[in-house]
Amino acid sequence: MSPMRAIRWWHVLLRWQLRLIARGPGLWLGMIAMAAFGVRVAGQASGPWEQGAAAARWCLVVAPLLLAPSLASVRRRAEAAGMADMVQARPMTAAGHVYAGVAAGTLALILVWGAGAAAAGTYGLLMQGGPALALSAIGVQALLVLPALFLAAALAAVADAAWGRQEPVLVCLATAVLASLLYHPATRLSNLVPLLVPRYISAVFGFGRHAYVVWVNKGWSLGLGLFLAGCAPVVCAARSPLHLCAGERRGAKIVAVCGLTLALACLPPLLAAPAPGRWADESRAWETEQIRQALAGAAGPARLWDRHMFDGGPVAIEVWLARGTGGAQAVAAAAASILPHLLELAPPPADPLVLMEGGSLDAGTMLRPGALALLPKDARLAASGRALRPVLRAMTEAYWNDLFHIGGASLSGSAGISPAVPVALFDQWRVLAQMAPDLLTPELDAWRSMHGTGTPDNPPQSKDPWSSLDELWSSGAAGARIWGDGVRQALNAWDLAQELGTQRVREALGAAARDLAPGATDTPVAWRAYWRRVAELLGVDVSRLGPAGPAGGMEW
Amino acid sequence: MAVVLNALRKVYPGRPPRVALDDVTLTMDGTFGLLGPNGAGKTTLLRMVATVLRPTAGSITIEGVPATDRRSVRGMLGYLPQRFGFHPQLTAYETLSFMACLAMVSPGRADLMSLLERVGLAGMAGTRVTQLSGGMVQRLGIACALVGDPRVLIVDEPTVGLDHESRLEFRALLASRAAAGRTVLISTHVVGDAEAVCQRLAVLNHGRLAFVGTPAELAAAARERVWQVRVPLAHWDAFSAETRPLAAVREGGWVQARLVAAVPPPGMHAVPLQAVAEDGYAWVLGATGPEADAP
Repeated sequence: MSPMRAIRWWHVLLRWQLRLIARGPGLWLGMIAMAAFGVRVAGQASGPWEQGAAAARWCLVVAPLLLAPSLASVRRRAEAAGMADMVQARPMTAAGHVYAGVAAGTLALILVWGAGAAAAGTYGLLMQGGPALALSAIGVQALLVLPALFLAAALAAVADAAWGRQEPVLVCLATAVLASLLYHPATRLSNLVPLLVPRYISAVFGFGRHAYVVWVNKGWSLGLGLFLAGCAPVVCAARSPLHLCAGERRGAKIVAVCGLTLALACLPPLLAAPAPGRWADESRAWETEQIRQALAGAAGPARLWDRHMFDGGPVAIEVWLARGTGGAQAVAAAAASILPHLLELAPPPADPLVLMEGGSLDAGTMLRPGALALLPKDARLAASGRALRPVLRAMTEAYWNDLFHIGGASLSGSAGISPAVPVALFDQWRVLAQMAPDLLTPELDAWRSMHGTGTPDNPPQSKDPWSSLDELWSSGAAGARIWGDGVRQALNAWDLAQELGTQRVREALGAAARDLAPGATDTPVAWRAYWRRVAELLGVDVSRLGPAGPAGGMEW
Repeated sequence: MAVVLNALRKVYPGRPPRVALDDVTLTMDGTFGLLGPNGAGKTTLLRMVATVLRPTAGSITIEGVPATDRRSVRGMLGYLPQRFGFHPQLTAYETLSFMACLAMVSPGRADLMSLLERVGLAGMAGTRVTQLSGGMVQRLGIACALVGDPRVLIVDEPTVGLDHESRLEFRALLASRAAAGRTVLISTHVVGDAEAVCQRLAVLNHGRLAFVGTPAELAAAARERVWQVRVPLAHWDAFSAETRPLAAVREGGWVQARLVAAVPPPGMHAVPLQAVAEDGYAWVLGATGPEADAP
């Protein structure tokens, strides 16, 4: 039989395999589960790259568990249906069965991953005013994810060929992926994880200086997948009555040898590269450095941005957004309106105020006086006409992070241990009260309803407070995402400000921050010391600023 | 046009190993029936001919092609195993179409519908296999075995679960295959089916070939060994335990029995009867059973 004729029959069998998978519950359950996870990661991750990577990880946790009975199975499905003898007595070869199964399994996994990506995109479109998972990001993400999905299907095929079972292997795979989600990749061996996607990908610079590790990892995954896909028909023919033609056996061996060669060739650079946990940090630092170089006028990295200059107002505003991104005008307008309320951010005379899009800085950070970074997510929100709140958050966080000596801290909208978050949040409310009180009220209401959840004095609101907060955060109308002691302290400071005066409280917060030693802000001791100092400056009891420390249950 | 078995032997591993077939040399052509009690080795033999089970020793040649050339041999075979099922997600028509894909043939819709019509399932083409009755599933299995018009059709206990009418239809279907010059191998323990359909028969007992010949020759094996006796009802239990009669009818205080034996039971009035294939089958099994092997 000619190779073309064989491939034609494999193609027909592939259509049957897909039909069988599509008529089972696993595929649909997987897609529904992934859609749910897609929404979850879209709400949590700060950029399209992170969302795509998270969707891929969840895909390899969810899909094998739900698709295990049908993924790349030849022997198992035939045995389960009671038609093993009928199938095996037919002329279709082991190669036909295995390759149709691997292709169908990979396609099913892609469908499941696609459901997650589509859900994340839709969520972004509806809740954040723009596709959270940009199409361009999906394209590259697909390239990043495909080798891992192919490898999973090939692994299932080998397990099915060898034992007529693949569930244990796939459950192990899902467990391994789950473990990789939970543990920070600290060793070089983590570079061998097939689903390696950088934890940090710059919206402007992409993967950064260690980009090659990602692509070599994909080569390793693909090589391993090809090796397994080459072995599967041979194993299947050895362990079942299915036969393999001489030409197919030769072809399968060539595929296996090529795959093994590719995998082995990729091994040394992967083991030589730093652990992903480390090179993600390095990439962040590298990106910040690139941004600084761009600000200093270096031509190289600047080509990755579109530079927009707005000099009609009292202060010239320069907005640098990733190439092709809209919304510069809205960002500039928001920044210009906020600047009179945050005079500390004003640039030196004759210099413009610079806002640069940079994903490495999960919270806004001052790059130098008069220059700050803006999250890609906030830039997208600005493009959708909701610029004020996200730009205000970026500007206040830039100022207070700088004051607390936090350069590029990863706060990600969560109330972390640093006092910078509650203080910046307080400052956002101060500016909002002056500029747009109508935006302030729903946010404060949401936080206060959260504050009252479950207490006898304040019964829960009829609407789920978490849900209203989620909506506010997703639409860029809240300064933090997660309820915690930090937000509670911001609320306490705000309540105190209503009594003592906003400006007085702000000055005390700033003075106490200046008193802190650099690098000593992220510890419980520093937290307590900071708030004691603030209380001292305001002449109030420290308990009025917060009942607990940064970790729940800590006493003052 | 034949299936030739040469010194075929199959031993299943275990402690102790179990000999399922031992030194079977046989040429099967036309419509050939395999008879034997449960565990005689019929299914093992057919699975080896269908190339889904490898013999421990010996060889199989199908239409002149050694069974080790599985690719070529499988292109000639249609196989319906004793126990089978189908993907529950598919309809009857889709199941047939799927089996055609595995047979690497591409019949048109009209061909597949005609096949369904031949087994009386044309009206159920769009019905999922889970909604078919046991007899319908059996008929669908037969249709699947016929996909691609195989030169050798292997059917293992095909009439199990079929009603009388379906059995008659099935016999006619097999007869038409034989008339078209195809080889049909049928395994059954229903002697009537084999006698009605098969040109030649083989009886397997304890993995060994006990008889090969035509149905008439099988009947002849019991010639002058078939007796009708009348036994008082009071003695019936002891009598039947000792002689294992083939059939018995109660008549008042007597039981009229048909039995196969070299000589009539002593002390009884026995009437010799005309031997039929079933008598021959019983005689062959009795003559080659464990007791017969004992020294």
